[in-house]
Amino acid sequence: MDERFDLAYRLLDEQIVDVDGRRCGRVDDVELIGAAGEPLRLSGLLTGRGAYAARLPRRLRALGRKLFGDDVRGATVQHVPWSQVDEMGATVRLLGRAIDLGLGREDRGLQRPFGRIPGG
Amino acid sequence: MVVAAIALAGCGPLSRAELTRGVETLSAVAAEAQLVARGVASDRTRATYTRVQARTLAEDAAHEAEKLADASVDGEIARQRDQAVALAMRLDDTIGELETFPGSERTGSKVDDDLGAIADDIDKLTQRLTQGP
Amino acid sequence: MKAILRVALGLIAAIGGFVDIGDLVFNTQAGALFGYELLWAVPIGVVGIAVYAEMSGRVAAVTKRPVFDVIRMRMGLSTGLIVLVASLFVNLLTVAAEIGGVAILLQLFFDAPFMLFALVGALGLIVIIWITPFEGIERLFGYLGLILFVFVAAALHEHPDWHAVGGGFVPNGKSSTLYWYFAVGLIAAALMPYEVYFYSSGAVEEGWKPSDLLVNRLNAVIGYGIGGLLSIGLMMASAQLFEPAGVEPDHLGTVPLLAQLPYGETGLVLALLGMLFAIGGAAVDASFAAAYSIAQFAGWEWGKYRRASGAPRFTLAWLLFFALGLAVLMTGIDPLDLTEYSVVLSVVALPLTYVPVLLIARDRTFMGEYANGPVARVLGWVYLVVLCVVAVAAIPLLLATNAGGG
Repeated sequence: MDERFDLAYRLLDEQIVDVDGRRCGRVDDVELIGAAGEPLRLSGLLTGRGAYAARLPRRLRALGRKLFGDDVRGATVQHVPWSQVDEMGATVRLLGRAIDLGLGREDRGLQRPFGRIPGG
Repeated sequence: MVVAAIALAGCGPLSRAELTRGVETLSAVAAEAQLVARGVASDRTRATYTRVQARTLAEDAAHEAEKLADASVDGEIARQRDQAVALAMRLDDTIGELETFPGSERTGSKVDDDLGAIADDIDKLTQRLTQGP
Repeated sequence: MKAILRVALGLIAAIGGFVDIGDLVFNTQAGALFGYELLWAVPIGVVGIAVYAEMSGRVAAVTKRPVFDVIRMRMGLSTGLIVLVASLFVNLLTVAAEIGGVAILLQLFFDAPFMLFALVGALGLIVIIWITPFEGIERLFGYLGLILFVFVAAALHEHPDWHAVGGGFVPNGKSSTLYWYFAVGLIAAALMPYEVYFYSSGAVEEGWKPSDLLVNRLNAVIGYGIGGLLSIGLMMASAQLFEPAGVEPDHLGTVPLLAQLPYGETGLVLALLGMLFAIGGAAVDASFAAAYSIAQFAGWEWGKYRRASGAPRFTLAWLLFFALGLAVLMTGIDPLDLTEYSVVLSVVALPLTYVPVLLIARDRTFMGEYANGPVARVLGWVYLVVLCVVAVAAIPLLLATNAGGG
């Protein structure tokens, strides 16, 4: 049963949450693949600051790339396959863990130093 | 927020209104300083608070003195400007006594009286300014 | 009635929002310059912020979305980014001003250089935030900020002319630009966006659910009601003690005199302590609001309840804000000037912050049965108009009155 939903309304800019309930980014963009005149497929979500520039007004894109970086897959932008999306509600919940999907790496990197400080 | 931040230097000669405003500021500083002094005189306050607040108020008076002294004046209000500067300096010195002896009831009482006299002189100057040449 | 005891969040948000360094001085100046004639501006601010805080708290309790989450979702990335940058700038000025206020108050207790106390104050706040859970922080600053009731006592001590006080609650037909500058400033200061960023995120920190909506309402009403009472007390005391004497309160250190005059040294100490906790609370509010905003916009993990290791970038963000606040203070700008600029600049962001909140709060697809009732609906729209008026009027008035210099 095909359900129609509004990409911009239900998906874009929503909080992504992994299977453990951990916040791991926002849907900063979506990736559609296909060719002109042929069925387009939603391949997945894009999350990361590298996706910001493309969404800014044209005139600000160059500035956006300088501030937030270019679209470098695996570095400034992570691709989350559509198959990993469990449900779209108040948040976009994933089937897997953030660590397995390459999300929230920066937070994990800082986890140990902060953990060493008492009270952290 | 009453930020007395009018840059007088290089903005033309001091106007009567600006001078009056400056003198009003002195009046307000004197009024507050009197409240602080009375607290000292009746031993109803803390010495550290008095010292720090007196320092702030004395700086206000000194700053006003500098500002008025630096401004260029037309002959008409030159005398009143000089009187204002003199009052500001008296204010600075008197409040300074409070900063030096923040715990002394005698000083507090004396400063209260002195400030009252300065305040009267400020009032007279204000009257002369607002009544015109 | 256990719900009554859970108003600490509302208190810290309100005290941080209603009696921070800017409000303390601004309310005192309003009383010294205009007597009771600006009292009416306070309830307008109170009702406005209570309405929007309640809405943002309700949205957070039902949808788990604090305000900045709503902003990003509703307005998208570009507009959301603009709101983020604008509000971060305002928050930075606010944090700097509040740390400056803490430094001034410490100086009034123990005479030592300003920047030293700014550093001590900032470090002290950081340590307190670090070791205390969120509820503890709320209670510490919220309850101890209530010491400011010494000013309400001072206002009543002089047996005010209640007839004149009542008259102050009706707007004056005055045409003085300065009068309206203060009126707009008082209302704008009550509605500063960082209050709802903090309040709504706090709702999630506290784990509020739809069953907590009564607590939310109590927090908003009692918290901001108390904040308003404190502001009124301040203005009344100033009208009674400063206006007749011709005092112009331009310094934070002038405010404690309102308690010292009737109550001597005890009053002075209580005033200084109350102000210390209120301004410290505001520093926490503003720096956390900034960290919440960045983290929620970007989708990072956030919240004190996650602990520092659980939300490291969020933690870095509020730490960084304290550091940047100190850096701003090192430029030598007067904290009172900083707070004035922050209030005026924030008015531009007011509609951008509150419109998304209103739109979500009334949207049944998100809120279900908890969407705005008739009261929230009417007041929400009325205040949107008020916000726009304030936003349009603030900057011209600032320029016309030379920032209140006359």
